[in-house]
Amino acid sequence: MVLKERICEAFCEGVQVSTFKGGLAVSTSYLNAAGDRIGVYALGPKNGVYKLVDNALTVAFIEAEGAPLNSGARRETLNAILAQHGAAYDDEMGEVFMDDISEADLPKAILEFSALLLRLNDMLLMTTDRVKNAFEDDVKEAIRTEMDKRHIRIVEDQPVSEDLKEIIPDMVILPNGREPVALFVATSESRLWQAMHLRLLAGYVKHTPLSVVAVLEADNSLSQKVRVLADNRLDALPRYRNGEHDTIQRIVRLVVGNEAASLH
Amino acid sequence: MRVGSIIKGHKANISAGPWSEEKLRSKDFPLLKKKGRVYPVTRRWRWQISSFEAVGRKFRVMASYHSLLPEFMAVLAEDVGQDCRILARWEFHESHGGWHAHSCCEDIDKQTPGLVKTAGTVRIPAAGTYHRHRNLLNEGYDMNDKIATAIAFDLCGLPQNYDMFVKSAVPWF
Repeated sequence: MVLKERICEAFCEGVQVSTFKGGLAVSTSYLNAAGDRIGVYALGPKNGVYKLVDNALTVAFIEAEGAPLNSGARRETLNAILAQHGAAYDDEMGEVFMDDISEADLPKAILEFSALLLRLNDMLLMTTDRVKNAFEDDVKEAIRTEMDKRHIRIVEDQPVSEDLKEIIPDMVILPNGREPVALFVATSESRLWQAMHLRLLAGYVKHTPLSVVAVLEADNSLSQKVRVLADNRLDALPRYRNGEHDTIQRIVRLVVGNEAASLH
Repeated sequence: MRVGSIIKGHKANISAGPWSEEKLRSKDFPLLKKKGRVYPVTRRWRWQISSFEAVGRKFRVMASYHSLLPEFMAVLAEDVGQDCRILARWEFHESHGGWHAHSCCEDIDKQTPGLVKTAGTVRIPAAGTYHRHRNLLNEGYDMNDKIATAIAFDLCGLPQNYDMFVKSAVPWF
């Protein structure tokens, strides 16, 4: 058997097609996160054309896993993936679909739709926990790099001082001759509350010189109410996404002062 | 205690809820660790929530089927405070025919409430292997509310009186 035939055979090995009253059901070789094969349904023919649909659970499960698709960036990603494959999403019924497909175009469209569902399953990788980790890692790495360049010491996951050991920031930046800066990567409201608590504790109870900064991923990351409080109570509350460089520079200015920051 | 003990155990206070195609709400089937705090089902699916007691605990069962496609699911969960602990999901998808379950063989108390798929959940039988029942229903029958309730109750070991129509529709009845 020539290699081409063997490759074609491997592609088709797991594919099963069955008929039901409303059309055709196609099983692909690929498994979703639940361990089920990814399936495609071709409804029709109606007036000579088919409509391809999923089982109206693909997007619901992605959202349930913590990647809500009504938010800006993820919705844009969903729309971009759908557009690339010529498909759409019915918000009302929770169904991914591709319609007006002639019988001649059906095999190719099924292949396209399968690829689409496979990619949508990968959106599970954009769940909150995973995104949270990526955001945290990005911010911390950028701060480390910047402070290293300026020979400024950083300690991580340690309290600012013995006096303030109740609250542990993600990083404490310790510039020579200036007050330390406690940094929180705020991936939850509770973390933002902790930052505000530390600021008040240092300023009004312990009288310890300290600046507190919390980094948000985006403007809509947390509720507006808490954001407004934090905006007014913390020394800085920069938004990281789409302003990565500016966020780091804002923190640098806080750490070394405006004048020193402009020298580098 | 394992899922099997609940399925085989004596049941009390069995209550079958109404069928609906409205959006499932958190109070119908809460999963507090999920976004939306509810079991993910869309409006393409008709659903029914039933409840019962066994081994001194409260449980609920969701029977659900797709309104256009040969797709079915029954979900057994334990009520844990305001949340649900999913113990077993039985499913059928025409695209890869064969009745199967997703469940965990561990002690149910070790399973985390609020999640669809807890750690250790496996598909039985595995995808691509032999399935005893390959058709949703026997030939000539379409899924409806009555049949779906009967299947969900049977899978969860809930006693019921089904009629001849239901008996002849379900492959293993």
